[in-house]
Amino acid sequence: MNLDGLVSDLKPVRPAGPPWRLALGWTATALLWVAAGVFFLGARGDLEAAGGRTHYRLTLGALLAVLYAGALLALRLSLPGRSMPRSLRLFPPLALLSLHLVLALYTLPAGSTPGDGVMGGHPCTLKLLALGLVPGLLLFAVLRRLAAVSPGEAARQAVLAAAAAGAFGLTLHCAFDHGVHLVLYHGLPLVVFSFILRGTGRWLRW
Amino acid sequence: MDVTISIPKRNMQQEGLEQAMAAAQRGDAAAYRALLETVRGLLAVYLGRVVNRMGIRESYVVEDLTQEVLLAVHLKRHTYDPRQPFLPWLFSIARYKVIDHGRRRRRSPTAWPAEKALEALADPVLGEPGAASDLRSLLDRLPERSRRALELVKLEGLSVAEAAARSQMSESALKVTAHRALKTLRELWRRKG
Repeated sequence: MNLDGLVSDLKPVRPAGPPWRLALGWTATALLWVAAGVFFLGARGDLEAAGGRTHYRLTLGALLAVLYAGALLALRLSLPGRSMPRSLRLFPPLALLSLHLVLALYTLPAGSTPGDGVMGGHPCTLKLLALGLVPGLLLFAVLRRLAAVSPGEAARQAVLAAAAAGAFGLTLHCAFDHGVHLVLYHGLPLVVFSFILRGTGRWLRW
Repeated sequence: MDVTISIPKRNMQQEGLEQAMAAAQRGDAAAYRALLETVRGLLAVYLGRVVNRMGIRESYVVEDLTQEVLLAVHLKRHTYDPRQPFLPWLFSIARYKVIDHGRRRRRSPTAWPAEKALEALADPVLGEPGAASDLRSLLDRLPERSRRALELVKLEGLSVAEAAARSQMSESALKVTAHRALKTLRELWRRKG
């Protein structure tokens, strides 16, 4: 190949930067969007009282950790030479997600039965989608500028991160602290979306 | 497909690759040229070995893959972090391109490579009339600018400089346009087959 064309096309570029910093920037932007979304939808009435409960704070912390870990892994998988063992790709988000689900299961309002939380939670999942959509699109736009060496896996982590952003906002909005409801409509969509939307990795091919 | 990467041992020449790539990111053309020349040599060895292990015998595949990886290095050079070693970055890109090539090949193992088809189309004696008309119809589906770039370089046999002057593009723009057109053509060919 004649290299002259590539050399004459050379322009200075700014290196993309380390993945942890990119992930931090994305997390801050996602949280801003989520804050705007919660402002629009309305925060739960008992937010102050809920914030005083340990499991509620842990749930928010676990979601924040899933959000950051997912974005970090998606970005690492989109920067050549920074790949990591397959087992490590899934472990951190799944461990954090499991923690979130376990915490949610311990939340059952007094006098209610598990069945109370099964029906009618789909508006929550729709709100989760709305809150996570823009951060997700933004993350995909960032990833497309990079060079995903495992596009499917990067997409899966990106979807998980975006859905966690949505779930984080939803936790600030929805006041129905019923374990079954939280698992089915706040937690499970993260897992489901991240698996069924793996195919969006084709957008990251280059 | 199992593609094992064996990164060549570092030598004195490769020690400077990190600095050369960092200089290239700042726009240093001389450092970039030296880097690309070294990289081309490394890739020829690596890709030759990998392609051979994949059981591919066509000689143009190594050339094609080298070209693809060099172009990817050029277009994705901002993804290199100067504080990280250069070779894992380079071979990660090369591995991705090899896997991508393998995937395309698996989908249409018997497809006539578009490059060969173009050569045949350019040769009125050797070219197969049926394939030539198929290819002509695929060429017509490309955007005007891409089709023209490909025709000038591959069918009319002009040098890059001549083709660039004729199409009023810079040489590098023409090369990138022709390369992308070839990639699109290959994809159209695959779908057709």
